[in-house]
Amino acid sequence: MSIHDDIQEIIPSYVLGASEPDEAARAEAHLSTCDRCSRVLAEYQPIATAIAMTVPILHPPGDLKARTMRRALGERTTTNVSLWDRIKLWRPGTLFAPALAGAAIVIALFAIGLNIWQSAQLSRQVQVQRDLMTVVAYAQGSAKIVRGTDKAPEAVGRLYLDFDSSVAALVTVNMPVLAEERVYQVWLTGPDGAKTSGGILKLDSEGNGWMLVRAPHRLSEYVQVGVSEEPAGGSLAPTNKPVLLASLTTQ
Amino acid sequence: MSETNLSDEQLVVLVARDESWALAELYDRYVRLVFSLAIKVLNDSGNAEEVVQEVFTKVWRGARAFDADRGKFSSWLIGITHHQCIDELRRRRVRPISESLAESPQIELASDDDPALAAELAFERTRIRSALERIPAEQRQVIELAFFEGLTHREIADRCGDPLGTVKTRVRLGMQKLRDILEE
Repeated sequence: MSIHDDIQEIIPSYVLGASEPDEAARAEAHLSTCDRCSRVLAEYQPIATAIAMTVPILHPPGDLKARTMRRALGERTTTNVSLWDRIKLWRPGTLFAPALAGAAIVIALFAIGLNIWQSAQLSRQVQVQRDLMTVVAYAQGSAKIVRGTDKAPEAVGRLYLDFDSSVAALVTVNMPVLAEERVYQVWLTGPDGAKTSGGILKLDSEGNGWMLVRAPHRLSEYVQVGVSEEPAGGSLAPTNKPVLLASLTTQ
Repeated sequence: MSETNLSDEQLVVLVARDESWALAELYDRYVRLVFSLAIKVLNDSGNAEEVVQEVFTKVWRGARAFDADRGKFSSWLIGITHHQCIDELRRRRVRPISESLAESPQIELASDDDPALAAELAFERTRIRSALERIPAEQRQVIELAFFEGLTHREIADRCGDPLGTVKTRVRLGMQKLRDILEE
């Protein structure tokens, strides 16, 4: 029996989800590269669709769309998603005043000591700023103070987040300015102690910084956020103690 | 109610270009089916809402990998939904009450809510129900157990007290017959 015959025997069960895990893995690996077997898969997929259409059709909750779009759009910050699109997806009753106050702080920090960029960089920066303000607005007033450790006692930051999202906005001030070959890197700690990079924090000449922190999972799955000094380009794991630290478990 | 004349596949291309309104349009078209399938499999509205969010997040994230030459968007979407539900089911080890497809209740979507969707669903429902009635009962049973309860071959064999090879054969033959009938 050829590999194609083997996989094509598995396909009907695979479409239903009845395959054992090793068979399903084997099918997925082969189907990703084989047009011939993929055509057979395409013959069986409509059966699953047809079976699915027999279920009683129910109305989902009215606010599910906003929650879904917020989570999906948080997965990938884009160049074509307008702030207005995101504003339209806000739930009614969102705490607006604290978010506006947060946005004002962000705007003020932008106005204090930001470098003048080239036009293409400025355009990109405007987009990122817009996304940053969007995340701030979505935070619904939920902001964590990220305090300086003994490595940087004057430093402080504010993390704007929605625990249902995987994106947060981090704004910092009074960070020690680093040498050119060094950067600050954000780390998210899971309940098992594992640390995941949330991105590189860039500072202006006065030690003020801002960024979108991106996590592979929802922020509710992490217990701590920290910032450490790392080599340029970042590290796979922290190589220094944190300069900023905050717990994510206290509301 | 959808106002665009774009096909699902055209909308996916736009989603891949980061047009969030296209994702919203696909959401409006398919959320009821995705949500209802999740409710049927998981028997829990909270989990079903979670599935909806994960499914459309995967559509947003994976739109660039969708290939319209390999199948329809609806099949791709239902495949994602079903896999998400089965993963959740197996993770939480919740077993819903099984119900024969031939005895499933009437569609609960109000006819004046979305008449086009209701008509399409009624047509597909009749078509698949008719097809299922034309395959042997033991083949229909294993297909239902696999699709709606997330049971693997081995679990079906244990549940029904049948040999593993027999269950695999029934699934394969039943699906082959359904494929042939639905292509008539």
